[in-house]
Amino acid sequence: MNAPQPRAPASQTGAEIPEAMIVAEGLTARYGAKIAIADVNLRVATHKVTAIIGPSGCGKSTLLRCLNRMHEVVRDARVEGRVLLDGEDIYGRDIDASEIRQRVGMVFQRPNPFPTLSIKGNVAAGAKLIGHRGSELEALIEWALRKAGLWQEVRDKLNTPAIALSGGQQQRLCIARCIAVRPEVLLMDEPCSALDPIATLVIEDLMRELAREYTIVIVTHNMQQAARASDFTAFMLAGEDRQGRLVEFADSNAIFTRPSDERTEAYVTGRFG
Amino acid sequence: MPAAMRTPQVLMQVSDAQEPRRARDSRSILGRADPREQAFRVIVSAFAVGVLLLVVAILYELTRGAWPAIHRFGLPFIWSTEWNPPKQQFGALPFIAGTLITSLLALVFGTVVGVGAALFLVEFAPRWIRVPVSYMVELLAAIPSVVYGLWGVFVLGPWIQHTAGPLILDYFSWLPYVHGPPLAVGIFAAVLILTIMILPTIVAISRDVIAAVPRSQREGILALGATRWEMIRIAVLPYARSGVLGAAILGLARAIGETLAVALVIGNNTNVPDSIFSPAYTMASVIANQFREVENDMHLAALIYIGLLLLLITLVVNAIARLLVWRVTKGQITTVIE
Amino acid sequence: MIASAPSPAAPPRRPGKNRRQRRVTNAIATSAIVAAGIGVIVPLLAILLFLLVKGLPALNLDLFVKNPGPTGVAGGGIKSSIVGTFVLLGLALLMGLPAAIATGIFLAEYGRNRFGFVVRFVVDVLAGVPSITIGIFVYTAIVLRMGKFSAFAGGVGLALIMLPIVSRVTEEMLLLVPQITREAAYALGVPKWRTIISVVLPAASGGIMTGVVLAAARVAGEAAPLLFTALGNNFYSTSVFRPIDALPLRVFTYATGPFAYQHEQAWAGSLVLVAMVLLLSIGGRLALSRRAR
Repeated sequence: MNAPQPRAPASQTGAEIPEAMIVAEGLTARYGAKIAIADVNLRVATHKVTAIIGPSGCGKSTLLRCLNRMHEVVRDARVEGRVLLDGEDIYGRDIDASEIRQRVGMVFQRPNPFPTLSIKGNVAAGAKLIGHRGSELEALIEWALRKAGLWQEVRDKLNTPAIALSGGQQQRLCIARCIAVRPEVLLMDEPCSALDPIATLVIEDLMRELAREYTIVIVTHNMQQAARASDFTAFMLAGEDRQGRLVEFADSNAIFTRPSDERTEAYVTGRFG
Repeated sequence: MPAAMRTPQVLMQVSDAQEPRRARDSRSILGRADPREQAFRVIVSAFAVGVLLLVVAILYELTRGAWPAIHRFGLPFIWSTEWNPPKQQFGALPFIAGTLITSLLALVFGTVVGVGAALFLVEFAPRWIRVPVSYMVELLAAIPSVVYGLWGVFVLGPWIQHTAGPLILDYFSWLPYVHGPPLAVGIFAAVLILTIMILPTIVAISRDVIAAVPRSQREGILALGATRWEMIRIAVLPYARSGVLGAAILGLARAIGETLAVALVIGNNTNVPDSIFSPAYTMASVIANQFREVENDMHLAALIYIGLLLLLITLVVNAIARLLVWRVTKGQITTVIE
Repeated sequence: MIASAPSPAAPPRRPGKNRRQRRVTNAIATSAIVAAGIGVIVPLLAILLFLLVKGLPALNLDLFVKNPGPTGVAGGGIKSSIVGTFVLLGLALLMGLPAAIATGIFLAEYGRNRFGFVVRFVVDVLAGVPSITIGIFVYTAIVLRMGKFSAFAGGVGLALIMLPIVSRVTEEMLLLVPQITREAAYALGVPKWRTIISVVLPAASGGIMTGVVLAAARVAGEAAPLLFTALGNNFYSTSVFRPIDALPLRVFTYATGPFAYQHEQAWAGSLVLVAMVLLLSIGGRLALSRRAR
């Protein structure tokens, strides 16, 4: 199948990850001169949900954005280290960034449907780029909307403006849009933080369903959500030098009930953050 | 930089700033109306009213001056092609055609190049390129029309005659309206000059509108695996559509009213042009060229009639442009479904 | 739980065969955009280049101290045109500034209502009137009535062009003055009219001056409204009630003239004109950006 997975270094406590879709090695990301995250080593298990938690400013979003090469979209942003997707370094010399982004999809904190397109147009936006057309495209759109749990609600108004939907619906639309390009991994950057509690639960359920087919990495500041919905959890913290580091990484059960690092314990018990 | 000064020729609606609170009214402490406050207010308002009267006066004087021609030729003036001063036969179609052809072509070229340049400045150029180039484009706007004309006569004209013209005829003469000797003056020269003259308007506004497209939109399409160009054509340009259109139409308004540069390169021919290299006339340039040498009163009235038509066209186009740009600067996005 | 029907079979994954083509399209589009970006400054450079190449050689002292000789005879200068431009500018400022500033004051201080909206709209309409039309208006309203062409008429035409620009700038600059400044004066018992004149206007004066400078730069280059108002003059004249020459007018006349000396002087005159206009424009913008900081 793929190249043999490197074993996680001894400094990673706990998790024995059998199969890792994404492996970050020595990942350091900068904005200009400022280092946002330093020397992160992470294994993201295939077909599982991995959560990244930590207080504000610890670099969780930056780490996430490095996994699909969105970090470099910002001016003066740079990355060092390797990120292996299915064994291949996505920062390799001849790698096409846009191809990586199609394989590793992303859902953002605030739903961002395209306002000039309809619901159907939004879902089709990415799919059309990779060549889907005609009735095949129609079937794909329906499939993606069903997978995102939105089909029943919008099937009669596919041609209406996407921004007329509620916040929760828009986020599910964005998920459908993502899925329609058939990625292997889904990155979710605090996908529920702009939504009400009910919409949040809907998305969490959706995530668990999606995990059966996709590998999911979710950044969240909501610890209950991480505990509920994820299989593995990574805890990040920015040191005094303001550089974000991975403090502890283990299966979620372990992180939340018997964390090894005292900083992790302080965070999950709510003593700070 | 305040909107009114970015390009002196372009005035945009001032966003309503804070409302100066109503001063305690003109009564002094003793409760009597302050006559000086009243006087000041009256004087200042008088000037404002004066501006209103001024515009009315302009319309009135133009209509009055054009009246003999309006009375004689009526509306058919607009589509009649005979322009014969000695015989007192006048028809404005050649000039209207000239104005429309040159302005619309300049609009098309100016928009393509201008939006392209705006995209370059926003999406590709690093700061050390973007700032000087933006500045230089704005300086283009400060160059007087007559200097463009001079450059057009002595530089652009010969270039068209000896280089560009023959090249175009070699490759494109299968198209309609592309034939004839590539004269140094004519429609093509005017279109080129006008395109250059309206570029600053289009680039400046488009640049702002494109830069205002939210980051979340760009990232949304990039995260689906789009290339940069795909991002521009799917997430950026549709979002910026209204504003860019408004910019283009403002450019059109400018091109329509442009007089001296066009007068120097248009070739001064009172026939409806049949090729891009034909010499022709526009409404503004025929007035400029013939006004001082009118042969009779009807000639003068006919020219003023053309001036009136020019004014009306410009007002309409400006109104449309303002509506479009205003909608964007007020933060509204059109949600038209393709 | 989400209410969902059983999922239909997933459509097949596309191997993304068209990626190569997409990359090519991207490259082509990028090149076109970069070309447009560079191409946009080519005209400016070309114009400035030719201005220097053709104008500098013709630049000499005679240009500034002599008036044009009889037509066809080389060796004269364009003194009358340069002086005429300044005279016209002066007239335009004299007639246009007070009206424009008063209108701006009205719009900012007394015009935050429906009437003010109408006035503002009309001012913008005036800004959109082509300058040749302004020329026709001044011709019928003033030249015909006075029975002659004059610098005065030319000045009126230029003032009309200046009016909407300076009005809006004045309004904007006045609105930038914080409300607190006004209220402080009111609280001291200063009536509104006095506050405007002694407090608000001075505070905004820098920005207004800059706006005036930029408007002057614009107006200095205008010739269309002068064609049949000031008319132009081959002889030196500063009289307000006689035709007067102006730099852009002379360039226009000489550009279409048959004599070589006329062409040379047209280039030289353009160089002087552009230098003047650019100095004013750049100076104005610099002052503005310094103010913004």
